[in-house]
Parts: sequence; C-alpha cells; structure tokens
Amino acid sequence: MKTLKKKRFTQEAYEYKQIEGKLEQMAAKGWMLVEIKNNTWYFEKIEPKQLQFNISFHGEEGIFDYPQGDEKKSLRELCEESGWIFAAENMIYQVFYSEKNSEIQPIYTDDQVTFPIMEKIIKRNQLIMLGMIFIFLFHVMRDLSNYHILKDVLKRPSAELPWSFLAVISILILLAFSEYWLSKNWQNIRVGRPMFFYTQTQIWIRNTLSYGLVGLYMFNTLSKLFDYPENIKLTVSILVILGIQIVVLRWVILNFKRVKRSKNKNIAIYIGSGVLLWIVGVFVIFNLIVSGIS
Amino acid sequence: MARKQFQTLSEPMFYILLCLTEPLHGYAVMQRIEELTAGRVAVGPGTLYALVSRFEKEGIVSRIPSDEGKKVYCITEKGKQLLDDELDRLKNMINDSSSVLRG
Repeated sequence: MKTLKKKRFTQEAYEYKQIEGKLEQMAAKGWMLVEIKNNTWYFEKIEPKQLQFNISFHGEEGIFDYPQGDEKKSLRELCEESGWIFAAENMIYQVFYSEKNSEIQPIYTDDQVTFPIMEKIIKRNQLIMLGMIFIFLFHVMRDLSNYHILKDVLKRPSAELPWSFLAVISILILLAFSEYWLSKNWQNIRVGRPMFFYTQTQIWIRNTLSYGLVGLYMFNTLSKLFDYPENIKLTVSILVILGIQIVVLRWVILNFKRVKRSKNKNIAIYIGSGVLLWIVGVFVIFNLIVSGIS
Repeated sequence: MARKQFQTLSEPMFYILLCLTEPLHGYAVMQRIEELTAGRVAVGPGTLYALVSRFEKEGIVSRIPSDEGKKVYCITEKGKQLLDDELDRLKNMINDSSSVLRG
C-alpha cells in the first residue's frame, strides 16, 4: 500500500486559508503533511483524523537576507507552547496543526497585524513577477523589431510575437489576482471587515488561465525544436548551459547566505555572480554558434 | 515614526504593552492577557510575535537577558510614554461620552 504521497501546491502567500483547508481535507482522508521541499508537499499515510491547520509566516526574510533561523525558532517555540504541533515549513511559512475543535488560540487573531505581513510577502513576489514581465517584454520587442541575432544561424522565422505575449498575459493574471487581494483587503482592514480570501474555484480559474497560457507558450517553444531538427543540438547545449548557470547561482545564494552580511552586500554578490555567469554563458554559446554546432 | 504608527493602540497592542510593564516571555504575555481580560481579548502566538517584533524595532519594548533560554521582553521609557498617552486618550473618551450620555 502507498504510504507516501507527493502533491504540488501553488504557494501564493494569500492562499494560506485554502492551503489550511486542503490540509484538513487530506488529514480527514488519512494523509498527514510531513515535509515541504521546493513546491512539493509530502504526505504520510495515517489514520484519518479531524485536525485543524494554521500557518504562521516568517516572511520577513527575503532572498537577500541572512536566514533568521533564530527568529523562526522563536516563533515556532511560541506556537508550540500555545498548543500547536509543528508539521512542516518552507521559505515563507511554518505549518502547525491541532485536534479539531480544541480550545486553542488561532495563530493569528488580528487581521490588522496579519495584513502587513502578507502585504510584504506579496509585494516581494510582485516585484519578481514584474522583473519576469520585463524579460518577456524584451523578448516581444526583439521579435517586433524583426531583428533576430540567431535568425540566420537558426533559420527561424521571427513570428513569435503572439507566443511571448501569452507569457506576459499569464504573469499579468497572477499579478492582477494578488493586487486585487491586496486592495480589497486594504479596504476591509480600514473599515474593520474581516479579510477576504479567494474561493478554491477562483484559485482554480486563476491557475488554469495562467498556467494554461504558460503551457501553450512552452509547447510552442518546444515544438519549434521539432520544426527545425537541425537546431536541436544547439538548443540542447544552450539549455544545458542555462541549467548549469541556475545550479551555480543557487549554490552561490545558499552558501553566501551562511555568513551574516548586510542586505546590500548580498544583493551586490548575487547580482555580480548573476552577471558574471551570464557573460560566461553568452561567451560559451557564441563560441558554440561560431564553431557551427547547429 | 513610532508616534505616527502607534498613535492609537489596538486592543492587542495595548494589552501587550500593559503586560510588559513587568519582564515576561511570549507565552507568559498571552497567558497574562487572558487572565487580565478574563478571556475577552485573545492574542494568538503569530499576532503576538509580529507585534512584539514591531515594538522592538521601534524601541517601544526591549529584550532583556534571561537564564531560561527564552526571549524575555520589557517595556521601555518610550513604550511607557506611549501607554500613558493611550490611557489619557481613553480617559478623555470615557469622560466625553459620560458627559454626553449620562449628563
């Protein structure tokens, strides 16, 4: 019998109420959350139980901050002292549970306090999304200008405009949902109304629209490989180089974060490493093209 | 900054500061609030933690050394002033409303 189940959840911070609800449903079906790794949530088979879940945010810590292990530990201890049992954690939050209907204080009891925490996390994600939009818009502009640096080598047509737009629209949908959540709750907090949360159906619509468009974009991009099989070798080489760059950058981030430094120094180190990797990558790809790998 | 941000204190803020007029660790603050208000005001651990962190950043409370291995906090002079001001504000409100409603 299967005793371990993996599930992929989208992890927009403002969905935490839905996540708590899903975890309760899973526990009632006999699946208990034991670990979160990247976007994958691991569940272990248990006797079906009526549990309630609460999520606590330690989202003060951003990608450029030194890990606040001590802060996380203190928050966890406080929740545990209050009767919550720790289940798992990721970069943004810790998940706790307790018996359903037990007289335990919810982890967050004041929306006026919860909202600024969420706002900070969401704004940070929005900044990343805006960066991605900028990259895709650059891609659109490049196609629009009808000038493709690889055009002659790859013999690719430059008619990619609608597909790049799909990626932009996909990110805009995610941005719109998070922005609507923020503005709606900003108003709610001002007039003392409880916080608003999307329903599971609304989240499903968002995911279907957004990830569907990304899927189409990816499908189109990959299908081009098969349209021009002579390019496969070069494209695979580029993907391998990109993969290596991501692994190296991840290593840099994880290892440099072990030493306590100012946020500005961390930003300088990460951006510097990123630019250096990008230059090396472009140099290698350029050499591959010149040597006629395609 | 602190003056503007904490111009009026919410109920949880007020009670947290009130409890921290004596050095206490997080969970003890939660218990003390429940005791003081006979369960009327509930402050969850996440809410307490977020508020105390904000207070500490603004110099309204400070961490004091403890042998228990737990973080113990106490109100600062700035925090006491804030609490006094809030008390005056609340007293004024009571006086104003009493004079209107009860003559």
